[in-house]
Amino acid sequence: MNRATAEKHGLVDGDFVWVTSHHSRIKVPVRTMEGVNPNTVWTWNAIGKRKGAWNLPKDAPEGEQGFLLNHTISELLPPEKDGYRYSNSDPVTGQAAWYDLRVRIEKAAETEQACDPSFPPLERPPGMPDRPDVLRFEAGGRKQPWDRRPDPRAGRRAAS
Amino acid sequence: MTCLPAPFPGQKKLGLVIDLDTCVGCHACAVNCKEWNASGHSGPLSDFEAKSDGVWFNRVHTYEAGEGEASRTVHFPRSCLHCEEPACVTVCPTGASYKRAEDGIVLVNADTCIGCKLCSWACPYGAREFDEDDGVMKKCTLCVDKIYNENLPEEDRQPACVATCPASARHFGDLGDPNSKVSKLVAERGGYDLMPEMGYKPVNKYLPPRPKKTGASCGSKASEEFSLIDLAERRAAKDEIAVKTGAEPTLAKADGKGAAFLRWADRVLSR
Repeated sequence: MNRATAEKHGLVDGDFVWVTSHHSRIKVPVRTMEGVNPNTVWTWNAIGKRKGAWNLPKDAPEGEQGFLLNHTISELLPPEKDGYRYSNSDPVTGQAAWYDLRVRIEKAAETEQACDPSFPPLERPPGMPDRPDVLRFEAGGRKQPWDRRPDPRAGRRAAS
Repeated sequence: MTCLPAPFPGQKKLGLVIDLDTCVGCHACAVNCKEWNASGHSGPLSDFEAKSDGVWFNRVHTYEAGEGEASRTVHFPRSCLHCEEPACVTVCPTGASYKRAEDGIVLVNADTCIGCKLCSWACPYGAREFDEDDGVMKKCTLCVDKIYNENLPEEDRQPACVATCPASARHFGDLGDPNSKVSKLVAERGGYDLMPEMGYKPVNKYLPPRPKKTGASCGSKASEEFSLIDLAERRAAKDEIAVKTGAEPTLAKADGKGAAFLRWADRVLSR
């Protein structure tokens, strides 16, 4: 969120805030910046992951600090006078309306310094192999660092 | 401990020119670099879960500079600058780090590298990447296996980071030739060296961000409401000028059918 707006709310980087919409609320850490409209807060879509999801370690930043906006966004807008609830989508294109949610920001208490909601970690599905500690993409057939081979790509390219 | 090749007149100095004005910080350079080099002679470029980090020849840092209205976000892509006097080479005890005489590319011979990391201490730009899994130092090769690769079509013979940049913020060429496209670009845009005070004479150049536009032209004034009507009026004004100069109008005048449609669309969308 905008730094000046954050100052008005008494917030600094890393503080946790409750973000409340007409639908629900989430508790998330704040990061301040200059390059955003003072009345807009934003985050990346799907930056958060449930602990253990995607075979990430259970203490991965995606699960500990990451969060999802989804909880605050309803498929339907609040009811009209006659009770009818319009779809929460752009009237012209039908595209889901993710960019115009009105929210309220409140500083979270000192004792509440963690993301909310938080779900228990996912267990590894049966049969899934151990997660490697070192990823070696495209290691090819090379077994040892000293077992150096000619560039395999050059050969493949020449053949094609 | 390792000697540099003697410079000679007309020497080729291959390098990159990186435009900080158009870089949008998308990290495509870093990803395509890793994609190419992981499967080349430097590969694999290991990733370490414990550190949430790995070997990356390109890294993009994003900063905010200034405050309030005057602030701007700068995306700063960082890779080896292929210095003319690279301390990372002269500090190498085994001769594994070397600078090529023919084009100035700084490379590491992984077969003779002992992984002492002296070069990473010597490089002030943080361009050296130690692969703990392989036990050797790795770095940007300026895609030496790509730029001279005759199996590739000629237009593909440029570094992976340059080929992929969607903002065309990266340019590759011979900075030793004052008439090359990249040298002209540097002269035109005031390209500069990174930390010239260190004395390593980096070959890569950075083009500075251009001054920020202010006022209605870029919509930075919060008081100025932007609407389709404004757009229609502005276009109509432009068309009047166009009519006077005999050019084709871009859209119907404000009192024409086009403007009526825009007024309707404006009304519908602002409900």
